[in-house]
Amino acid sequence: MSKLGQVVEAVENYNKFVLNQVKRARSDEKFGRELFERWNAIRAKTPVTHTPTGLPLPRLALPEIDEPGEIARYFFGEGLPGEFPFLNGAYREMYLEPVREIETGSYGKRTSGDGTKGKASGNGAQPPEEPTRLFSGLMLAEDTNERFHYLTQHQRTHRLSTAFDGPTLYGIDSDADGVFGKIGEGGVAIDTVEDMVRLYDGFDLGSPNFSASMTISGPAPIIMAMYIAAAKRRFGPKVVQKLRGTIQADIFKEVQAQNETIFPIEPSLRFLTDMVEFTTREMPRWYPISISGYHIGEAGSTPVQQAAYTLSNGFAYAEMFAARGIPIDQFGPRLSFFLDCGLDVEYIALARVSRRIWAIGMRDAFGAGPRGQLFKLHTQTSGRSLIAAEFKNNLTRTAAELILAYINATNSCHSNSADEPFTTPSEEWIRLAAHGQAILLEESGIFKHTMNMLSGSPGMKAVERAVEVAILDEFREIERLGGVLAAVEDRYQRSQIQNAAHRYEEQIYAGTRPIIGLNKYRNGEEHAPEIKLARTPRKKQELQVDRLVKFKKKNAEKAKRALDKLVDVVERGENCFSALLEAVEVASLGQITGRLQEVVGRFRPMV
Amino acid sequence: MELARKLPEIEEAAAKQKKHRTSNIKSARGRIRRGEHRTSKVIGFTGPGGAGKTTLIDELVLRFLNQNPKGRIAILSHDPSVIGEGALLGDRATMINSQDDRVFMRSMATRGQAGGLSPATQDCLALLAESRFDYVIIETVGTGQEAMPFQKNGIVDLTVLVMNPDYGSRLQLQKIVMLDLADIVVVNKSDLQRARTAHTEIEQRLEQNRRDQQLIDTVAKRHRDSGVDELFDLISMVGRDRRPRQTRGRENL
Repeated sequence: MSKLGQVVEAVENYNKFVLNQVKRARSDEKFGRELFERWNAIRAKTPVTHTPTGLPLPRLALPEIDEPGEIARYFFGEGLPGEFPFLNGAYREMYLEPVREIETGSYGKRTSGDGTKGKASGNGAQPPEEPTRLFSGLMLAEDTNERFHYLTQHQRTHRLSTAFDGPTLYGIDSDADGVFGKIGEGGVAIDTVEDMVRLYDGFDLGSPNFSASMTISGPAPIIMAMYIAAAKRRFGPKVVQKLRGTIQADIFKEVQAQNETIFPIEPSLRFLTDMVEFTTREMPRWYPISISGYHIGEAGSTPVQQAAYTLSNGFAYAEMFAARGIPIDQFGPRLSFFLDCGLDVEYIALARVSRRIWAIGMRDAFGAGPRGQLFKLHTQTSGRSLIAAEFKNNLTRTAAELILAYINATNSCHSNSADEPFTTPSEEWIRLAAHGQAILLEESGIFKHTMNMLSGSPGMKAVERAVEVAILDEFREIERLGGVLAAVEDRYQRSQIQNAAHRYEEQIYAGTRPIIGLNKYRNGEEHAPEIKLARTPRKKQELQVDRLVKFKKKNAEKAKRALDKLVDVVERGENCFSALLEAVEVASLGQITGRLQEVVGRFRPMV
Repeated sequence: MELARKLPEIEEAAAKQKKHRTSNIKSARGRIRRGEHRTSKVIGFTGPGGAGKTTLIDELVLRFLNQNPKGRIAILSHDPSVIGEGALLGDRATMINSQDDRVFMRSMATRGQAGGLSPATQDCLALLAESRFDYVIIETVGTGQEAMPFQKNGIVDLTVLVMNPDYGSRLQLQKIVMLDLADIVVVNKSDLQRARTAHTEIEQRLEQNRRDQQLIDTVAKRHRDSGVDELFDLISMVGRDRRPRQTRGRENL
């Protein structure tokens, strides 16, 4: 049995355990009384907040139950926010606005004792980080840098998220054959460590208020090495241990859904593990992998498939890192997740259920400690749900998806820009997208006064149950195929995703899946939106090539030596990340991937 | 560029069953049959669909390009035509190493002809064989047990049958005609559990032929697979010390 099979058993056993606790609470009077007393104590201790109109509300809302069996079902089956199995949230307070002294007297100065402080409210007295993290990347490094500064100008914490252009995602240099027109399109062009220095210019990479997210998987270890090298150039070697952020580095989802893979699966996983071994040891605040369902969802999977493949990929990585000898409590807390949030009803609870399954699996099948059980989640609203026809409707779609994402207590979120169906987001629409989140979290009272405001309705519970059953069924099928890696090589996940994508399109054509403005309530007139398209000017593309050519010329000799050394390390089967760190100082992305491909081969597309 | 233009002309001519074929092509065929102006070694690959012919060829091309910095190679691949819908012609999508300026790759539709090749194959092959490639590789469609695609093609120097370890029962092997004819039999996907049995059964089957046939196990999807290296070495020997098909090829004409 692979670890995934053990996870299935762990969840089944846990569900039995919950039922037993319910029965015990009803039959064992002492146990029942203890639960009841704890329940009442929590209610009594929950601080009261006042809304702007003066309405008093508890900061934590709980179901109105007073029967020990039901209390047991809540405690063990769902858990309070921040408590195992984390159905209601990874942390205790999530988006609640900080308690203001004016409301609660001296409350804010207290350091312990009332049950509401601690990791829940973030970094001690500091307000928590804003959950907004907007994905951007365009043209050259300096252009993206300018966009980063624009996006974060009003933010207390600078949480950047970087999109790379096509050639970079495939590990190809800007001066390679056939690449020119793609430079800086759909993301930023990064060829060398010098580009990386330009990309984050003006940001304090070692600051606790800064974190960088980089959306790249195939060449992730090389890009990671470039980021570290760039940080060292600007802030010296001591900055490395302070670096915060994440890099996607998810090979499984690339092979299952997105196809931006450059090495065959096994060496890709090996380089990934090399990187994870390095970062979990040297960079305790870095998340070296973002286990991503987003691209699986966008490729057309059903929500259940998305959650099932993402979770099973996560368990497979955990198994792999453990097999390398990295302690689970070292890498477990450094895993994070990325899910899509669309408009299908499953999304009302998809991340909630995922968080629960992850916690149970990590605790009971992997033996992870409390920090390694947390399913830390970034959500993005669904790009696939947005359409060009009558595109302003996309604002409503994204708003609805945002509400769903926050109902799921996501830890951070990207809201899509309404003009995305036809261009790289323009400043006007990206601003509306960002403000959509602010309106929801800061202007509206839905999420800021009370935890559990929208958790636990009967409908949500029905969805939770159905989704969990369906996810476990997918796990069983993957297990039957020999585990995640075997299923991936057998194209199982790919075939299921493709099939679901096909069904979705058929439903749109048949009209059984209404898309307003497309197959229902059409205006009749086709207004081509007058939007300024973002395109990379030729001059900029030429500049990028020039800079790269100069870099290669300047470092030709050193690059050869560094790459020879890198290849030696890889051939010997050792961890190559340190050699990569040296190589990126003098060699370009394309030079490095090219040499590595000579040794380990290229990824052959699964067609 | 010239080749890219001439090949469709040949295909069109064959499709219209024109008796009047362009005279230079006709004479090219004649010359090649006589062995004049022949510049390339021609290797034929056949075998059931999904056995890994395309991947194997791509891996051989990688080795060839690495060993011969100036060498050129042509690949003539075949895809079945679906009635009324054309052919997929999609092999290049998986041929990652063959996407190189020194590789000429052409897919052909079978246009309704059974047996693995197209009505125009012979003429196209004749043209390629005198176009200064070091090798011309010809790949059939995925074939059935009765197929013997290269029998009449006298200009194929070496034939390779690529097998999948999952061919069914041992009895099925008796029915596969190409097992009698191929110079080299490859059991690809030899990392599969079934592969050891397959090797033994095919080995016994080949012994019945009492010919100098080679049996090689490969894992084409694996980078630098030693089985593929072995196959590459065997193919490289064609026309040097070992000339497996030359005489027989002429007889078959």
